Amino acid sequence: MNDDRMDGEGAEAREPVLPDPVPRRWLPDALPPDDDPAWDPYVARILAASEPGLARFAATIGDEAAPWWSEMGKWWRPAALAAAATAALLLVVERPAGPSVPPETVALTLIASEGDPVALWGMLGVRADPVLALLAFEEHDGFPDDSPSSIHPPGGETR
Amino acid sequence: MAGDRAGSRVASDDPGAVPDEALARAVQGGDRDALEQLVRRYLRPVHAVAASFQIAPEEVEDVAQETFLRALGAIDRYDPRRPFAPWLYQIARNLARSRFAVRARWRLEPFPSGGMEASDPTPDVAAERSELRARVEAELARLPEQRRTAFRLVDVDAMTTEEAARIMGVAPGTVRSHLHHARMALRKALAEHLEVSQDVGG
Repeated sequence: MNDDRMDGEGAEAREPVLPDPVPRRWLPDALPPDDDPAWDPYVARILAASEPGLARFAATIGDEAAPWWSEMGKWWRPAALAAAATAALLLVVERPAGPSVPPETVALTLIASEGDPVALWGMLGVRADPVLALLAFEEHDGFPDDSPSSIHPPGGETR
Repeated sequence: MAGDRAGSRVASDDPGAVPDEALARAVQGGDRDALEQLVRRYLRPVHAVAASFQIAPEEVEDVAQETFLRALGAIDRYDPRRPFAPWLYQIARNLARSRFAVRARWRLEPFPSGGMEASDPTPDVAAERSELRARVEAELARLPEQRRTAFRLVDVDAMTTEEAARIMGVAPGTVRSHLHHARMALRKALAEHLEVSQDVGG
């Protein structure tokens, strides 16, 4: 259906004298003039549908225009405030006194872990004797298979 | 009506008007007013281009709206150093062409273009006019696309050949050539009626 062969200089070179148009009353109705109010609803509809696209362009332009240091400037105040608030919380809030787990329920897997035995007992609230604590751990390796799954603190006392 | 050019105010014909390309550049920055100016400037030509594909009136409206939305969606890729009107025309043409292809595939009859004028003197005259309009529509549907568009813009919507040329992105002489072939085809198809018309008129 498309025939664009008449485009271009060839067509222009053979520019003919135009025949008379056919009577206007036989032709399709013409569109209203440009300034006719009939176009207003169409314009409004198109503009309304275009708003998201326009907003996207405006936002993109805004992003491109702002240099990186300008973006940093926007954020340093909130970031500093957040850091100060965190530091204040750490100072004000009392640290927990340690877990209140009864020493007799300590699982063997926990004391079998590596580390300073005294510190481990201390974490459980038990002030352990350094030598006895070490002995208790060494003894742990020698526990028989049917040994209980908990031990008592070695020569110490619960806080 | 064909000689009445008052209804046509295409694009930058007004030397005081902001050039299309400057408006398009402003739209690239999200300028709503610039977009409105472009829409008002080109809504009628875009409708005319879509209507030249002889699709239903509501489809013409859809194509026109879609043309502007597609143009907006692609405006960041538009090069303002190139003329805006043919770029927009190409979008409208592609959209309308796909609708026209659907009609052609289903071999639908052309849509009648509007109703009878209120001044029709008798039902017989009205019926004859309706029949002639249908024949014109059918003949237009057989024309190559560029000829049909040139005919629609100039002879139906009363644009000058220069305005049509700028929209279509071709030389004015090319538009006149398309117009020549379109008028010849219509005159041939309506020869018997033209003779009667001339007899009556003369």
